[in-house]
Amino acid sequence: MTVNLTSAPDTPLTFHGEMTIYTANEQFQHLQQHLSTHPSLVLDLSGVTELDSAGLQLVLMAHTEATRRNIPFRLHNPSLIVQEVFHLLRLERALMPTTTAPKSGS
Amino acid sequence: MSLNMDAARQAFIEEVAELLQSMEDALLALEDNPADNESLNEVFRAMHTIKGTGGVFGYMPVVEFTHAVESVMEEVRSGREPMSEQLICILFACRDHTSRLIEAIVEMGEDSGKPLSSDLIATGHDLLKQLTQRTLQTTNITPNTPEQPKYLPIVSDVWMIALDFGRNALRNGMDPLSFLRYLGSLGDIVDVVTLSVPPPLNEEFDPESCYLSFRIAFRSDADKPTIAAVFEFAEDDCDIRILPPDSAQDTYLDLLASLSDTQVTRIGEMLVSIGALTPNELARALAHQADERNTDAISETHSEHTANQRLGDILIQQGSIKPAVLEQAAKTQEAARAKRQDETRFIRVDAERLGHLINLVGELVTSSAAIRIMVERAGVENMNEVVDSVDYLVAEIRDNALQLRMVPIGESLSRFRRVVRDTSKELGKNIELVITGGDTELDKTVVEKITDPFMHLIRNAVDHGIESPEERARVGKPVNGTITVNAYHDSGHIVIEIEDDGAGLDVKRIRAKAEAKGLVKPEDTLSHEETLRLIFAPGLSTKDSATNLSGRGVGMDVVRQNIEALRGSVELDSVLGQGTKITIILPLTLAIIDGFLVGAGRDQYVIPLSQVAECVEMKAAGEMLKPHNGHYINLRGEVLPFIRLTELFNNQHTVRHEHRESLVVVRFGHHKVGLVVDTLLGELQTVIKPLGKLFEELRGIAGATILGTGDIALILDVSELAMIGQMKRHHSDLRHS
Amino acid sequence: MAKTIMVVDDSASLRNVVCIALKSAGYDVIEACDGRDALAKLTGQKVHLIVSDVNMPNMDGITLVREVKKLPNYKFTPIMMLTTESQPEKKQQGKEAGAKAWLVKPFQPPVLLDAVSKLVLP
Repeated sequence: MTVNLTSAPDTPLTFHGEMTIYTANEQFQHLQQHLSTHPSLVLDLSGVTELDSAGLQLVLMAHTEATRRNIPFRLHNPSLIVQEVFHLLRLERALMPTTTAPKSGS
Repeated sequence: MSLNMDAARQAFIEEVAELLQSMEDALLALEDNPADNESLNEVFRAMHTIKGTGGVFGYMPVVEFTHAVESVMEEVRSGREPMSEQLICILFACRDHTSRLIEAIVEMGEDSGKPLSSDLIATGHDLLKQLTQRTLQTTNITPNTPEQPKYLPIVSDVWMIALDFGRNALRNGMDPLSFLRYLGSLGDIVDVVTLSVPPPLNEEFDPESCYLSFRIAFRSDADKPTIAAVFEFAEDDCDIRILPPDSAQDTYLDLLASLSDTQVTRIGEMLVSIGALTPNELARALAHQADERNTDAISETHSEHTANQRLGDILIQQGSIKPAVLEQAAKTQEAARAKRQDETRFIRVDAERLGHLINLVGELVTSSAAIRIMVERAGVENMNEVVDSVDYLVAEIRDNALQLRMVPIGESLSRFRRVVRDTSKELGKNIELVITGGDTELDKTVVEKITDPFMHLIRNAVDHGIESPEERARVGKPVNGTITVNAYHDSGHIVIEIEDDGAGLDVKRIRAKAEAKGLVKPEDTLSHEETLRLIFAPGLSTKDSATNLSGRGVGMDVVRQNIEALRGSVELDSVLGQGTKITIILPLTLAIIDGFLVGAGRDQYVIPLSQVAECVEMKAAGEMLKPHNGHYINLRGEVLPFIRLTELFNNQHTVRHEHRESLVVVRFGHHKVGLVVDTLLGELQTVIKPLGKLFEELRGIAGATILGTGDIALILDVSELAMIGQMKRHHSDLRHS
Repeated sequence: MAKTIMVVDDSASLRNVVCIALKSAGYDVIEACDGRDALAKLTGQKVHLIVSDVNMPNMDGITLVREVKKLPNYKFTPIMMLTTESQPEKKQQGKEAGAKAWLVKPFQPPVLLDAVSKLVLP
């Protein structure tokens, strides 16, 4: 897992590798840092290889926090693994209003 | 995969051989020291492991057998049951049997699904029997496995599933996403609302805690237990509510309504048993209920009803069931409870004891009447009131005691179903027996005595009444014949009708037969009813060929005599080609009699009313025929023997009064006899008190009763009097010829 | 990416069958013959689920659960115990130690797969 931090205003917060309960604490620290230094929240989840409930919860928490702070929230290029979870929970519209979510099932 | 399985199977067989060897060693050790714990464990472990691994391979006979042995070993190991020499013997045999089972499986190779040899099965059964029977002797525990509830299939519709995960769910290794993924394999997840409710301040947010809740709309054909099983591992860490679709509600309602009484238990358990509620949902609601009670400051009486109400409310609140289902559950429970109370309302009492009680009550009635006479004679005025109230109480006791012996007639009628079924089959007829009014009550002693005449009448209807299917078809009747038995109460009597839609009685043939037998003369004119009644005459059978069912000889005359011996009467109606209806009227009890009170000489007599044919003035009755000192009278052209009661009982008034004698004509069966009495005193209902042993030989007397005046009246036995009359006639006939 | 399941049981034949079933369903499987062996083999491996017997030599299943819960990299790993209906007290001990899932022996392979996939899909 790696986290890239840059100071540009629209710089994404990038999560690599697994987003699970084993990594949740550390990734939460990064999220808090990022929020304190950036006026927006763009999450780059393109490199996420595993997403469990703890990881999902973190993404949801980020979204809630951005809404609360009234700052822009965007998911950048989520990996297929992430998209699968979003689809399972019908979260595409809430979290990725701009991107077209993969359609299937319902 | 099969290659791998072969290797695995081989490993299993080798493992079993080792385990069985150590089991044998342990058993040998146990023979020397039955309390050796290590050896006990070894035996248990061997069976346990073989069972576990055998199950994985699907060797069910091995699993079943070793499971039984393991269970017994568990009892021994835990000290609930002693190790005995006998048990060790059985265990040796069990070890050998397990070995043979495995051998058999090895031989089968790939076809392990093949049935075992009958020899092997028999040995297994025998051993299991030895094991269980021994267990029964020592522990006397019969496992009471409740019937598996049948879970209902649900038609496609949307389930609502609410999942609220606990804070520790993630830390405990639960991944809510896994459950949702798995749920998706059971049906179609229509929609999900994901709620993440972290604490408001982000400092308190713990990424390892779980704040997730889901509301899921789910379409599936799976039943509730199956859906609940998806979340079985999450039960400790998640609040799970599963609300079935509307379409399932109707099924639940039906299931509830059809629960048998033994299945009706506590309301929650009922709902679980039909699959409307999961055990977990119930447990949570009960816990909630307990909490509520603890916080309840007002100590309220917790009747089961209010408890139910609350549990139901909690279940609805937590979204586990819908109100309609709960309502039906409560209804079913109420109905079962009412029925149970019904059952406990009754106690079984020996009929003999009841009979004894009724006899004692009879004595009491007599004694209390005697007291009244004594009091009146002694002229103790102020005792009258007491005597009155005693009289009243005694009368109440009498009525209640008689009521105790009343039973519904249905039970004895329903045994005829079998008779009708069997006889009609034998005769190749299709006959339906319809019984109505089965709950009509009458005295048990009467019920017992009418069974035989009834049987005869029913058989008659089956044998002679209902025609063969071909014959019925020919005359345009439904092929299936019907025999209807109907019972009802009518003014202190029970009326039982036996009706068939058969051929009916042929009046012409009855007449012809009766003439041939000399019962009637060709010149006699008889009405339709009178002709029909002729079949009650002895030896008149209208069926030309006798069958082995109703036979010959035992005819309607016997039936009639039996019924009249019960102070009942029998009537007959029949239309040729349409059917026959026999109506039997019986007193509700033999202990009470509807009588006709007469006076003769110094005494009073009661004649059973049902046997009184008519009363005429002696002088108007016609001239006396005195062929040979016999007593005969010409009653409208009929020669009637008569008995003068004063002569029979030898109790004339010492001072002869000039009075008008009356003739009471009584009948018994085919016989008629006249009784000459001094006065007619009218009808009365009275208790029969049997006469003591001393009077057993007394002919013509059935019992005694105490009259309202305190006098004792003798109850006449009409059947015996009729015999006396007939014998006189017979003698005189002989002398006459 | 296939999920990895560790199977711990002292009966080699049972392990065998369980492994065949899990592999055929698409899981990666690591085998261990007892608790001690399991702990040794965990190191350096990513494991999504541990399926363990209770009665084992060297280290039994309950102790294994306690030990796994102490390891930072595995403390959240779900553990499924294979137990028998005659061991209710074991189940209680296991629950207290931190095992959450149970499967009653004997079981047919499809039942195992069903239970496993409630926790981890391949």
